[in-house]
Amino acid sequence: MSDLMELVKGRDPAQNEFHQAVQEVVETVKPVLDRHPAYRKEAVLERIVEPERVIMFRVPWLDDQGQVQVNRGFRVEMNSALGPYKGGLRFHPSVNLGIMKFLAFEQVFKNALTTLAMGGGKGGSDFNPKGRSDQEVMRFCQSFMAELFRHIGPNTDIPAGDIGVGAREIGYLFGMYKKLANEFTGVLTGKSLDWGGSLIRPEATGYGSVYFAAEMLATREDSLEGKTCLVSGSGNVAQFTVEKIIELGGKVLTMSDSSGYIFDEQGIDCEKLSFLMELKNMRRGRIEEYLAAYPEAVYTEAEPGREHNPLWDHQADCAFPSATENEINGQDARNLVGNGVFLVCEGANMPSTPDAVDVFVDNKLLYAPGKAANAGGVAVSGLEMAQNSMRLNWPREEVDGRLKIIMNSIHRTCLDASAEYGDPGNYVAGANIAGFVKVVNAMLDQGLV
Amino acid sequence: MDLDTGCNLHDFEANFKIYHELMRHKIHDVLLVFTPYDAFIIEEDGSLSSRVVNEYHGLNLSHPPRMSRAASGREAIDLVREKHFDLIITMPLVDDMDGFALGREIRKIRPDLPVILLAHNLRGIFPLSDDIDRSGIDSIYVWSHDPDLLLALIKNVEDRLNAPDDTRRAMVRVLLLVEDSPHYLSYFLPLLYKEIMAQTQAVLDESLNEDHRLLKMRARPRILVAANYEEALVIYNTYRPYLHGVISDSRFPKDGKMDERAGLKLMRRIRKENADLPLLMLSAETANRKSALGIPAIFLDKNEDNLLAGLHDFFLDHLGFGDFAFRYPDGRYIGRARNLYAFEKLLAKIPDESLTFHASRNHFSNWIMARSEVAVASKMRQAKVADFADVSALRGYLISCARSLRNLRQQGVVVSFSKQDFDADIMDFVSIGTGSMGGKALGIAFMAKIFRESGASCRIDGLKFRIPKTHVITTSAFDEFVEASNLRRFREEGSDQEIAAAFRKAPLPGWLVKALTTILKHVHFPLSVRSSSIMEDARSRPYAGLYSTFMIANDHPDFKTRLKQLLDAVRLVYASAFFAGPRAFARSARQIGKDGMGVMIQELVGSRHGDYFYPAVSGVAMSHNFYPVGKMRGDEGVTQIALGFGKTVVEGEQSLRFSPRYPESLPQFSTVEDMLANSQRFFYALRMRNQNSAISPANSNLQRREIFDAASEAPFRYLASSYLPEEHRIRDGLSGGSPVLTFAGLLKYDAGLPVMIRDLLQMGRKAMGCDVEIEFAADLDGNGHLKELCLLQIRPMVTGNEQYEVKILPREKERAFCYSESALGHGRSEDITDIIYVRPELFEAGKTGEIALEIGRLNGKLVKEGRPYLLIGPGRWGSYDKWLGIPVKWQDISGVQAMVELRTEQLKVEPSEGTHFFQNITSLGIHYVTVTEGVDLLDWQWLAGQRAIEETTFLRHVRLDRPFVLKVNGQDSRCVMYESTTAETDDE
Repeated sequence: MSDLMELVKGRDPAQNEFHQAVQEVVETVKPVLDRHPAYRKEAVLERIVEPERVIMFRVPWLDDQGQVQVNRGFRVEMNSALGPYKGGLRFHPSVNLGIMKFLAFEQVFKNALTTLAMGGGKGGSDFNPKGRSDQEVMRFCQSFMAELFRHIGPNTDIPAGDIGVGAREIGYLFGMYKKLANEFTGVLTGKSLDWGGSLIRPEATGYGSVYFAAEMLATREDSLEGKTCLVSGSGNVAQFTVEKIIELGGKVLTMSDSSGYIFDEQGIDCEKLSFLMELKNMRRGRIEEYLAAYPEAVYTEAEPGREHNPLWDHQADCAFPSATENEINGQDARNLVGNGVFLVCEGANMPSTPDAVDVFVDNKLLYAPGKAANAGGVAVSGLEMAQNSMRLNWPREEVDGRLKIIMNSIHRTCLDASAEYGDPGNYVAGANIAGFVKVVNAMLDQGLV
Repeated sequence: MDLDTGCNLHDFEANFKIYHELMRHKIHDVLLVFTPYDAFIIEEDGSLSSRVVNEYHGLNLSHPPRMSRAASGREAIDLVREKHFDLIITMPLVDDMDGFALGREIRKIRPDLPVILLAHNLRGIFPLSDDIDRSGIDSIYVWSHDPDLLLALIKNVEDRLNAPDDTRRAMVRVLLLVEDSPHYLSYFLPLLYKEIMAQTQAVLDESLNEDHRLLKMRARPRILVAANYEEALVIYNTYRPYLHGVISDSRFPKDGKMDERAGLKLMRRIRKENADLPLLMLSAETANRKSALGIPAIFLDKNEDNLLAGLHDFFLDHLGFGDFAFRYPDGRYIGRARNLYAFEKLLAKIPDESLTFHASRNHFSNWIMARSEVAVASKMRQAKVADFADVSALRGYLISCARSLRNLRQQGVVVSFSKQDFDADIMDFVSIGTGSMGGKALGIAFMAKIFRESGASCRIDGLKFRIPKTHVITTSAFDEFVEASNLRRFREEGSDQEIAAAFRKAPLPGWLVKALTTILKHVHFPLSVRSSSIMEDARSRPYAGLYSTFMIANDHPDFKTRLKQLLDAVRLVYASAFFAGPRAFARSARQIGKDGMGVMIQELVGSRHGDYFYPAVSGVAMSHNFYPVGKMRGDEGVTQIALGFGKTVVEGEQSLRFSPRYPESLPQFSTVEDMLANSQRFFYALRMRNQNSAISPANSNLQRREIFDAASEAPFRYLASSYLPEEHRIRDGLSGGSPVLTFAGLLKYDAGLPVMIRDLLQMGRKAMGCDVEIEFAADLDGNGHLKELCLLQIRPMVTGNEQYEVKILPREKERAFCYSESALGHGRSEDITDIIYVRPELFEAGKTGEIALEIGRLNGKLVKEGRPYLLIGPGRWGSYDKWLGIPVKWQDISGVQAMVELRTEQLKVEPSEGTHFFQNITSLGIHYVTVTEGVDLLDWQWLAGQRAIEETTFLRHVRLDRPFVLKVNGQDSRCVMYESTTAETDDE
């Protein structure tokens, strides 16, 4: 193992982020390697840490003043064992090769976990869109694609958006690809609905996490029916988490934003959720304003200095952290356990600190880590590719139905992996191992290429 | 020409551009070819050159020509070869050759150069012998010992050169003078020019400044001279559409022979084609009188003593320089208009046949043209009676022309209020009372003048600047008011509430109430009532935003209630002069002396949308950007805009900030998430119907509305974009999804607003001679386009005081407890020992109101002790939105000498420049430092280690043993603060 790390560091000494990502994977999958000597013999680790292809290119463009600007473009095609490379493009000044490799490496396993036929990659540029006009962004995107187009394709590499690359940029990139390749194909995901995008994208992460939770409960022959749930956040993920919980019979007690949270003992029903969605999506108001319509609820202001978050200190059955990173610390986790919470399903990215995760695992909670529970977003990208290939636009019910199937499948994969590697019901271990095993098995199947 | 829409002066060349294009050919250099003797004789009549110069100045004419001399023909020819001349004036005999020969020689060198022969007498030149070749001479004059002649003949040459262009360009009138005798010509020409100049001057708009009077004089009629019948016909045929009148001798050559009746023949011919053209026969033969009258033409005897008076009357009565006499077609008198106001009134009343009679003969346009109002006269002249559906349409059009002209003449002019003359429709700027108008009103009046002079146009055609109709109560009313009710005692004592209550009870001066009553009877639009203190906006001591402003709907059905609301608003503005804020500011600015208070009652810019009235966009622009990011430069300025009234911007609520140079680059709107988080959520509007009879001091009597509630109202529809959650994108325009106010319609798809702001800032900076801050508002037309930008206020910014260099050395940065690369101000301070900071571990965004109170209390204590201090806290200082920062008022921090605004992960808001509050801070030289977590430095540990004087719930007040060193370099915006040691030496 240490030999591998030395090899990785020696080859690319300045890529700290990438070194760290490799280190984490290597540690996680050690039991797998121990059990499968073929993996070592076939040097799968040495192969998996080396990108299949790295493309770096110059992106010259003219700003609004007619000045030439030059940025650097990247596409790291990390692994295509399970399908064409798939992963976002990031436009941010912090982008460099190390970060691209780190993100591409993680993407390989994330995509594998979805059980869809997607390899892993990542790309982007050190272009800073902040303060740039639409025209400048367009010119940059066109120049970027003028080189990238020859390396990607619907059966080769399908980039998506990431930081700094939203629907606007995807549109410009797609337009240029179409012009250069002279074909209208699903070469990018995250497209607008009218020209190849998929439905259910905003809902996917929230819905997906609830589907995952329902599956976890099903292992105990239980369901969300009648369960009291604490939900944090009030953005997309939280809103659709709440919507699906209500649909499946659960009772949501809390929601929050950066200013504080509301506790509604009566439960947030469809009508209240609809009010809240208008408040947050249309009026863009603060969660406190929920009380103006529903005064029976209690509002508690956020207290940054506090050692724990009172939102997690209510009697409940389930918790759906759907707001932000590190929103549950060790103390919060203990409070959750103390209040009878037996299921934690992460809709947000890494909402629980390592301490908190330890508390959940130690107390044998049904704990779904974000990398598995919030894979709904990535899954819908896969479904967009499928629809593009078929030249069909599925109705939302069909996309939702397939999302549910995918989430069930992820759940099953994680659960099976955890059982197979001696820690049944540990979704953390299961998620870490399952993706890796899928990829390396496929690599072995396909020979030394 | 769009006759249906009436006479809109904005369609015209309403500015002075057209006048600049007139009189392009000027006589700059004249060569006088006089023998020494001729010169001596003429000099005896007075120094010729200086007389010409004096005459020019006396008649308000610009650029008198330079006079050069030659004593002989040969010398003259050499000079013409070497130098440029515009005109040669020669005597008949010049030493080595005669004037005619000289003329011919000059023609060979410069065929187009006019040569005039000036004789002492007629001998040998009139009548001219057939054997003399006069081809080198343009005209012959006789020296009449009248220096005006020189001026007249120069003018006449200019007229001849300019007539083709000027008539075509501006329909300038032409006066045809037919006279073959050099003697009479030399006599009449100066008379005619004097009369034209004097009459044109007399009827010019009195509000014009001297430069513009000179410019407008360029539109005076041109005199073209003919010496025979044929020449006269050529001029007549060439300039027929522009002919203003004909003045003719009776006897002059026709067909190469002297014809006794040539004048009569000419006039008859002209009359046949022009029934109404003024004709004047000047004849020495009284027998011609009868024939002349039969044409009909006016007759004047050349030899009569009262010839001058007769000419004068002809100008007044027939050439439009006098009153306008309305008549029936048969000549019966109806009425007389002495000025434009009476003209407009009478136009509305006169019978149809009179109106048609005058209009079809261009009497109206002639009368207007005599006033050098080229644009309106042209407009009137182009409109033929047949163009209109009926007489009433014609009448309406003519009235609108007259009104537009009156309106234009009032623009930029401050009119003193008088009950009799008050005309709410056309008076844009009225002062009520004596004394000063106050700083704010003076700034506006000054810009009104600038607008008038520049034509109030921006570089994009069709877009205009405007100042809303303004009525200013001068400071004398305030003085009388506070003296009469003994209110001056509140200068030093009393809470704001007590002061307001006392002022509301006190009676306003009777004359003021009467004046406001008269005004209000004529004014039916919503009004703002603003302070205009004599201290306000004064350079380097601005009291910006300290005083109250009220908006009133002015739509109550009961006039008494409307009046009461207005008077109450005035009283409350007066009361704010003694409020705690201004008092504290005066103390910190070490201001002494009394503060006179004017009040501006101004038309509110905006439109009604349902029950609310508000402008589509308002904002503040500064010609210097304190926080230039990316490609922006400091001197390109910065603007903040918001929907609704400008209170949103001025008080630091969520608004949109952009560089008018790069309106499409919006750092605040870089990502979809940024746009959702940073777009405006609330705005201020004036509630129109069902208002309480009492005005509310809160929020300037405005209501704070949610943007979302105005989603169906026109401005929002034009300015909003849509957030489409299913695509996580924002599309410009409303197309489903949730609306987001991005102003894309104004910033991306219509260059008007940014260009207008740039032009206005440039104009303001040039006019005031320093960086300026302006407040503006604008409304959109029915298609969502911006047509005009209203200037509400202008004041100088205090920047560019970098009189000495401040260097920040690397070693100073190393020992700093605070270092930033984003600081306002410039200079070095070594007199602060006290620091108040918001304890980071205890800060709560929801408690910023309480924190402000604590700061106010500590500030009071330190001000009493005379200790300047450094204030450190998170977010936007002085923000109205407590979630964005600590909502301190000026009085809460009046003793501060330096402030640190922390941008933390918790409160990462846009920097807070651009508010009134900032204006005060910068004008008092307070250093304002933005410390961004992770980028700049603030050593919390060092702060925690300092001796605490007091700790409150949220604050810690520490005191150092000796003052720390603070340096701000205004050139690169860097700031450093470090502890000084006893051995501190000046590093610079």
